[in-house]
Amino acid sequence: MLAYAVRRLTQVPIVLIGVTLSLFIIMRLLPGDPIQAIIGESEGASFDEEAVQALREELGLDKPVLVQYGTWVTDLVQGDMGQSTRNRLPVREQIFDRIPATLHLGVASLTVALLIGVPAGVVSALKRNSSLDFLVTFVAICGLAIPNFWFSILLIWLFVVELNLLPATGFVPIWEDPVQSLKLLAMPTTALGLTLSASLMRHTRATVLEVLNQDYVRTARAKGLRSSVVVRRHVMRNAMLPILTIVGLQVGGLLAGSVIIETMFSMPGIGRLAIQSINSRDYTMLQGVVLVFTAITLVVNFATDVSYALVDPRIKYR
Amino acid sequence: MTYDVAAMELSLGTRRRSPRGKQLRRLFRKYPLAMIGAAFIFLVTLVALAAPLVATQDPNIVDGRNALQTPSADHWFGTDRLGRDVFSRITYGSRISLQVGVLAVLFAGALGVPLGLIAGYFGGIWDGIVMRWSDSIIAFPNIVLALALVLVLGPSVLTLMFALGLGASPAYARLVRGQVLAVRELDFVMSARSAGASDLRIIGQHVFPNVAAPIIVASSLTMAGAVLAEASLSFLGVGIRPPTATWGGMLQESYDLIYVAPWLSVFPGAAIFLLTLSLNLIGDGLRDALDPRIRRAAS
Repeated sequence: MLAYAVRRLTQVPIVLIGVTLSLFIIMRLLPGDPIQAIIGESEGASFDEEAVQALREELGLDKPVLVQYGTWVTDLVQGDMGQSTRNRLPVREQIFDRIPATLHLGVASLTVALLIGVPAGVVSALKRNSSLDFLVTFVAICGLAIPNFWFSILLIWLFVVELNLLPATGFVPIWEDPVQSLKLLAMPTTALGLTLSASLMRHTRATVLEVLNQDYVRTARAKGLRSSVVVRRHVMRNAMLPILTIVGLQVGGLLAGSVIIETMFSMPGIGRLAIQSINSRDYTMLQGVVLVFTAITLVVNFATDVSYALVDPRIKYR
Repeated sequence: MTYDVAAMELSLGTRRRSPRGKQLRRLFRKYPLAMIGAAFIFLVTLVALAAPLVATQDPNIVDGRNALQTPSADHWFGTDRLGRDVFSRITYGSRISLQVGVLAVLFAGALGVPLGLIAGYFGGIWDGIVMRWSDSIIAFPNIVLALALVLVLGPSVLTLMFALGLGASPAYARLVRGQVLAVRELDFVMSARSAGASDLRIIGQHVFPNVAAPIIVASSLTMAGAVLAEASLSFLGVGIRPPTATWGGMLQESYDLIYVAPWLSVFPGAAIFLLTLSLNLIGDGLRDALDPRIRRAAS
């Protein structure tokens, strides 16, 4: 078990290097020069060749790509994520500033997904082939197919334009103004949470159906246990673990969804920062954002895999 | 393994034994949602192929005097801010969605399936390389990867095929690898090997046919994902460039008109939604038909 965890852990840096190095190369192939982006913006059309060269050297952009990558990794190990090629402020602080909004959105959406997806999946599985099951399953498959940006537009149309119930866009931390914060979070959370609950519902249903087919459930029924006891003690206990794994796997989807949702609702989060840094050719910033996204995904996956192996002794890992 | 013959014939196109009408009715009774999905895909494909005939006018004709009209007999889905006919633009937009969807699936399969076969069949270092490669792509936030690639390569159908196909390829590699690991040690592969068959022959003749069914299921779900992703990129303004009509691009243009012309946002989104939904329904139907394990659990 320990050997498995250690081996799994050694894969994390390999994947991190793979992701960041390929992004490093892709970003440098991008048409458009970050220096031009900076100069063109701050000083109009004046191109002082010497100033451009000085800036290029200062930002280290005159060196070969692999040397730049080496410098970036060396700094990173010391906790320095470099400075933005755009506004020359430290990347680490700017990403930290963006964490609250993304955290609000992520936690709220995951809560919605858990509160809707799991109960719906369990009920659907227990009453399989009933009209309730068909209804829930159909709503879930629609939830998976609906583009989250279109769903957001429909929400804005209904709640902002027609009913005038909610503020359209923006973000306030919940510790500053809880009511306004929740009002602003309502639509982005619904848009992001719907897809998640749909996927969670389908996986929950499949898992519970599989557990219901196990011999020990048949045994429990055969010895005359009430069906509520069977469900609580035998079915749910065994179904919870696979369901938690699915929740872990959804963190990746949550981050990807936050890119679009934060942009649509003008939330100052990490996802929106990704779009902004691509648009402004902010190499180091995007590098930092992708590093954070990837690290979160990897750590969550690692934790899920290992906890799975810890809890379920039947699982053997080679 | 027992497969549902009716669905296999539908999906794999083997010879039919009963008349087509009867066959379709039987399939419809068994998989009603999947058949509705298939019918809708068929319709969209027809519309895309015959777009000039279906569209009521040229999708790019600008007519300032008729801008932002509500749906009417002349303009079934209304007109946008430049007075272009929304119905005609949706008709032409289907071409981009379908092309990108199909090409991305083909690219993902062409890349992922061989890699999965190699990883599963040869194992060892090959398995390690392929799996770390697929871990990296999966851990990479896929929309950021696609955005960056499209910006590097310039927006075109082929670029989108590459960017979205690359993101989807690990799913194929992992799926095929898992299937190969399961099949590799079975008797018929062993007997082929002891009869002196080459690796290539064993993979092509014995292993691959056994992993085909899950690949077909995965393909319809992958295509749904690609259609959604193409729409997302166009919505973010990095897909196929205007004035070419794309469903995501139409939503981007209409988004800030939500106060004055909400219908502009309804139709393109509904088109994306219905196409994705149909592909998911077909995928689910095929999975039910092809995977006896799930069917047993559901019956």
